[in-house]
Amino acid sequence: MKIAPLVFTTILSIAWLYLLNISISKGDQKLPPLGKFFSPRTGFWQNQRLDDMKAIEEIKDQKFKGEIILDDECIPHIFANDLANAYYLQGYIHAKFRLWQMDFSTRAAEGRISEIIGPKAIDFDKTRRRKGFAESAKTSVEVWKKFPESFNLIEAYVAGVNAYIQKLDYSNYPIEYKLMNFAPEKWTAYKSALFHKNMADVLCGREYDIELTAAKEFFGSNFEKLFPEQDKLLDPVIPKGTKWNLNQDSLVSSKNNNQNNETGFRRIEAEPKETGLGSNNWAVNSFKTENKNPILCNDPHLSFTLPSIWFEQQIITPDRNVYGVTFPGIPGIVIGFNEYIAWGVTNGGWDVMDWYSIQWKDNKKEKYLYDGEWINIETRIEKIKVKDAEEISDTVKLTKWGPIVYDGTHPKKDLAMHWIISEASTSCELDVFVDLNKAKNVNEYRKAIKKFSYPSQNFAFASRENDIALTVQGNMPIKRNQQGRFIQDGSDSKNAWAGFLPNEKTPYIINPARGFVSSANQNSTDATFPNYYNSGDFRDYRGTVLNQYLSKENAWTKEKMKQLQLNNFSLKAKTAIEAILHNIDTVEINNSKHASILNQFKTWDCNYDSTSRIPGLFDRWYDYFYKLTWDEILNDSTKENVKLPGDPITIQMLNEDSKMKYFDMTSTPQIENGKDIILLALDSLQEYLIKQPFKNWGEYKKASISHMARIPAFGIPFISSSGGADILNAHARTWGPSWRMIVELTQSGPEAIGIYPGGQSGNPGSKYYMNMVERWRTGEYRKLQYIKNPEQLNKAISTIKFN
Amino acid sequence: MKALFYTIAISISSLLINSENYGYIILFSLSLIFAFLFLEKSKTSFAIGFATVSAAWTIYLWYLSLTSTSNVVKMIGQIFQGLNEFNLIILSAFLGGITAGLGAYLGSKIKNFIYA
Repeated sequence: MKIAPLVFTTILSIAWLYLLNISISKGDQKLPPLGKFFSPRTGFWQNQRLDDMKAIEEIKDQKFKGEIILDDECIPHIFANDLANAYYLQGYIHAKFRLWQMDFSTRAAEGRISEIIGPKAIDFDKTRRRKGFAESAKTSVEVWKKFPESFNLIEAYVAGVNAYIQKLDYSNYPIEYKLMNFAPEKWTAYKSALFHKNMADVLCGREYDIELTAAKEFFGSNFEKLFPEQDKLLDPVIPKGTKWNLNQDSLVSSKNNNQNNETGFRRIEAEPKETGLGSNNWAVNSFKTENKNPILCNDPHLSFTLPSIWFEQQIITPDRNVYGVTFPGIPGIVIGFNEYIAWGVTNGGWDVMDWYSIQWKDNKKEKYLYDGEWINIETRIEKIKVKDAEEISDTVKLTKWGPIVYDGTHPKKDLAMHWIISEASTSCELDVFVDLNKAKNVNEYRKAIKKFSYPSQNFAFASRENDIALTVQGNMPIKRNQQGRFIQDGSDSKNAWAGFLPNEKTPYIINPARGFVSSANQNSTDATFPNYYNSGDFRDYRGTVLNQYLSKENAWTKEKMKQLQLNNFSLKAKTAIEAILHNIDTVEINNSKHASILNQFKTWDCNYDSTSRIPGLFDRWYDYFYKLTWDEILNDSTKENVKLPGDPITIQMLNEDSKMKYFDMTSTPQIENGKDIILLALDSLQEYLIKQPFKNWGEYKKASISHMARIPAFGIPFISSSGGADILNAHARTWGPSWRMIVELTQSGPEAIGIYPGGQSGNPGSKYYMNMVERWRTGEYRKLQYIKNPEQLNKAISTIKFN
Repeated sequence: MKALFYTIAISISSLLINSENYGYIILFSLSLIFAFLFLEKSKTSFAIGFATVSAAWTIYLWYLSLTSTSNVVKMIGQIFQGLNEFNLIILSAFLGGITAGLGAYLGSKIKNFIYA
């Protein structure tokens, strides 16, 4: 009889141990196995200690040598005897503070998120795999290997990352690994390439071929008017009137491309792309500054995440002393300055992703028409591992143009995608930063950035020698007029890009007479540029405002530049309010039931200050106005893939043609005009204010910073801040100035200030995880500690010696 | 006296176990072995195992929290239904305590079964 309790206890014990080792579901989330997660010696408790840094840490028996000194903001200053050693240390420190971020973002690019979070990421992974990030990354690595000197530097960086990974066991994994129950993988050059491809997707994966094709059909003869490629506000990156050193005969015919304009296709994205992203950079020469030193400013606008996309650091070797921000995952400083020069980047926005309609021979979809012949499709089988589910396979169909990305969106045809990352590069892209980081003058800057192939970027430049420059750098496909703006006929090889413009022919400017260069994602050039490029959906408000300010002032200081980066003036609001007042006169305003709001608009300075209520009123009103204007599209589910006209043209319509038929609402029997829509939008605003009152713009905007994996506890749910989309201080809800930098190049060395909305550590519990957010929010900047030797640091929190 | 040996042995070992996947199995097994060696009555062995490891872990986790400036435990608490740091310590100690208690109970049961 004694055996019964023994057996019972044994079974109970096994059940208990099993229970501790399984993941438990909470809603659509899986919690990690409680046993190992709650274990005092290995679980999350140990993550409290990850931030503990010794005053001096020695890492012995390393192939690469050097020293990292972390200053009081946890910013590493790397001292090494050569660049390979420095990149090894950079890899190590990136991994030490941002390993999970590096790992997760490259797995995302590769289409491997289902492995971590389960079936809900399958569509995301499929799209990533079909777009061919992995193949492109593999090709890049093969190209890099052809440049052994450069590849050795990448390998040194990779070795540094792995040196840190090798030190880890479960107890000191970043907390996200423990929560999501997966483990770090060995870092490789391939993963660095994947990171580069991922950034290319963020910056040059925005195009509207499918939507514009549908819009062209819907709007018919009004299309060109509603979708101008160069709108009235445009003040291009390269000033109007610039002469181009480009022989038009060397380009393809500039006659209009034969578009087949086939509609009926749909885009299926697991995660819709954010619109309105952009960046600012500018440089002024000494003639326009108070201290007679050139100044360069940059604030790239990207989606906000924690950990931040940027990691700040300084690299000091015998041939360079460079400071700036880096991308954890690749070596070098991406935006920054050295003793001689400063540079910053914004997105050029050229359309380098085109779609081609594929005509199948039959329903089997195994042969497609190409130059009059039926060509066999190639296939690639993608096997997607799925957490807690069976592995799935996805057959990717490959055409001469590229992969079929979306299945079955059209009754008879499919779309193949061709984009720039599928073109093999001819150089080692990461060399750009190797060379740029040590450049001393404008010639070396121009030579360094030539290797930058995509995504097209506006590289602003200033030097101590008082040269300023701006190059729109990237491989620019040679296209016919309008080519790639719409879906193209994939049965005709003539619709392929005709190669790329020679590098020296892409738009650039050095030392313009106006004394400044600038970019804010507006069109690179005016319409006289001989090659066709399509600038996505960027808008011209910021560029126009920026150039107005830069032109007016001739005694710039760092402080004034700071105010310019933090400038909250909205040209969109100004033009829209002018259009309202054009339609409704003062007497009408005062007799209107909306008199209070309209008078507030009338007297508003169009500044999006967080403490003011008017920006919220305007924003809400504009949202209603816009939706009521384009109701014929927005209220029709069959038109979900029709591109909507932009804000500038919608406002222009209100000003110039308020009787335009698009103001008429499809849901009412009477005919509305622009003025009616203004008033109806005000009615809706009043109803909104009753239901959801708000005190000010900051409260209305509801800005936030999410954790990269959307773990709410690791993010910031609400930030009250000034600024907004289409404003120089472009802080919208979830994206904005991801790094603010101002550099004055004095004869005694660079003097720089900067800040970003995050912190150096990727450990959510660390005091360096989000320690800069509040200062960033309130418009504070930090003095960037550009040092020449360790003694110059104000305070060091830790020194890591690699012996 | 033997119970004291058990208490010392299991409390020290429970704080030294550093295995990602087998930590609780090791804790259970050690508790079983130590109970087999040092404990007699199965009725009290569960209580001794539970109390010892719960107390050892509580003290250790309390010490970790007191000496850390990290916010990570508070953040984890938000993920687990808003549990505060104290509750997380209690929960962790409970998991360890039950494991050790079950190991001790089974160890003494086996001992009684063999030597009865």
